[in-house]
Amino acid sequence: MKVSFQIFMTLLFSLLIDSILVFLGFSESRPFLFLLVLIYWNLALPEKVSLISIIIFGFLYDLFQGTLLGVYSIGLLSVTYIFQRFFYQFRTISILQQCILVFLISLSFKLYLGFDFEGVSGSSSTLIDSEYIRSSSLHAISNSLIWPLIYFALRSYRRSQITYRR
Amino acid sequence: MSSEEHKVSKISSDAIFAIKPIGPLSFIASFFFCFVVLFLDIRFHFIDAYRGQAQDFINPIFSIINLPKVALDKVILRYKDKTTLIAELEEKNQEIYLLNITNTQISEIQKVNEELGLLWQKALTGNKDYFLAKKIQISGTSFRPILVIEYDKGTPVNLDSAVISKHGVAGRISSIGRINAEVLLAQDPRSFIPVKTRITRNQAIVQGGGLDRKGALINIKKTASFTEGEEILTSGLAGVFPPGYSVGTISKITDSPDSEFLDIEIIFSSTPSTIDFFLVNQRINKGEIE
Repeated sequence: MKVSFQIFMTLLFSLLIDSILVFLGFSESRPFLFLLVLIYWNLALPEKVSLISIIIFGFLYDLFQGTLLGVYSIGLLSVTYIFQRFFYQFRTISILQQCILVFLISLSFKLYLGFDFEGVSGSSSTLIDSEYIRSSSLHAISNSLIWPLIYFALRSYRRSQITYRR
Repeated sequence: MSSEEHKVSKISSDAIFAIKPIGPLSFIASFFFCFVVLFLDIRFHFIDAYRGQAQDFINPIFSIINLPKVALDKVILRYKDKTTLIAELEEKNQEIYLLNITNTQISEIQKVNEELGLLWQKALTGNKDYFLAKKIQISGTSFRPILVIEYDKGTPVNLDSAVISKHGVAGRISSIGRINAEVLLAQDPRSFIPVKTRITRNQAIVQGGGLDRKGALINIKKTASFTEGEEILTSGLAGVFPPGYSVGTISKITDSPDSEFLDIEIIFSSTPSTIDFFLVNQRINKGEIE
C-alpha cells in the first residue's frame, strides 16, 4: 500500500474520531486528534504529507464545524509549514518538550479560530473572551497530554505497517 | 539501491539520506488557493447552500456510531424483570394522568381564548405550519455554533424558517439538505433578532454572543428605559420570527461613561444543548409581517 495513502487513511480515521467526540457531546476542551496525527506525520515522514489532502480535510472540517470555507485549511497548512520547516529540530527534542510544543501550537490554532473573519463583533477583530481562553487552554492541555499516546501509537504503526525506504 | 531512490554525493558517491520536505512554492500556492476560497466565502457565502447537503452525508455515520448504544438498550430492555416493568408502567400511567390534566386545562384556556378572539389563537389553529425536527448534534466552535436537525424526507423547508424550542426561539434555518438542515442559533454572534420587551414594549435587536454565553441588546440609547429581569420577546419585524416568542431575559444593564449606548446583557431562554426536539415554522416568510 502506498505510504501517502496510509497517511491519508490515518488522517481520515482521526477525523472520524473527532466527529464522534463532537456527536457524543464532548466539550470544546476535547483533544483535536486530527491535528496531532498531522503533526506526527509531519515529523516522521514530512515528504509524504500531501498538501492537497490537508486542504481537502480542512474543507471537510469547515463543513462539519460550520466555519468559513478555508479557515481550517489555512490553519492546518500553517501547522504543516511550521513542522515541515523545523522537523529536524523538533524530532530531536524530548517528548516532554514536544508536549509543550503541541500545547503552544494547539493554543495558537484555537485562538486563530476565534478570529472575527466576518466582522460581526463590530469594534474588535476577534471574538475571544476569557471563557474562550479558558476552554482553549484546556483544549491545548488535553492535546499535549494525549500527544505521547498518539506519538507512540503512530510510531508503532509506522514501524510495523509502513515499509518505506527513502 | 539505485541512485533514483536517494541523493548521491558527487564527491564521495555516498548516499545522502537528507529528507527534502515540501517546497515553499507548493505552500505559497496552497495558501493562496485557501485565501481565495476564504475570501469568496466571506464575500458571497456560496458554501452555505451546500452545508445542509454535507450534513446528509455526515449524519449516517453518526447513526452507525449510535447502533451499539441502541442495541445495548434493547438488550437491557429484553432482560428487565417483571417488577421493574410494573414499576415503570405505573410511573408512565402517572405521567399520562398528569398530561391529561394539563390537556384539560389547555382545552379550557383554548375555549376562553376563542371567546376572547385573542391573536395567539390564530397561531394555535395554524399548527399545520409547524413541523417537528429532531436534534442530531451541535457542532462548531463557540462563536459559530451549528445545530443540525433532522426532519422527514419531503418536508417542505424554507431558508430562514424560525426554529422554536419549548423554551422559546432557538434560531433560524441557514442551510437545507435532503433530510437535514443547519440552524443558525440565536446564540451565534451572526444572529440578529428583532425583539421587544414584554412590559415596557421597547423595540430592540438581540445579537448572540456565542454558545453558552450571554447575548446583547445592541445600539440602545442611554435615554431608553429597560429594566433588569424583563423578558424579551420576538417582535415579528423582518418577518423571520413569529411575534411573541420568548428570546431571553435582561440580566444586566451597564451605563458606561465611555460608550454612547447602554450595555444590556441577555440570558437566552432556549438552550439547544439540552433540548432534543424543535418546532420549525414554515408559515412566516420575509415581509409577511410588518
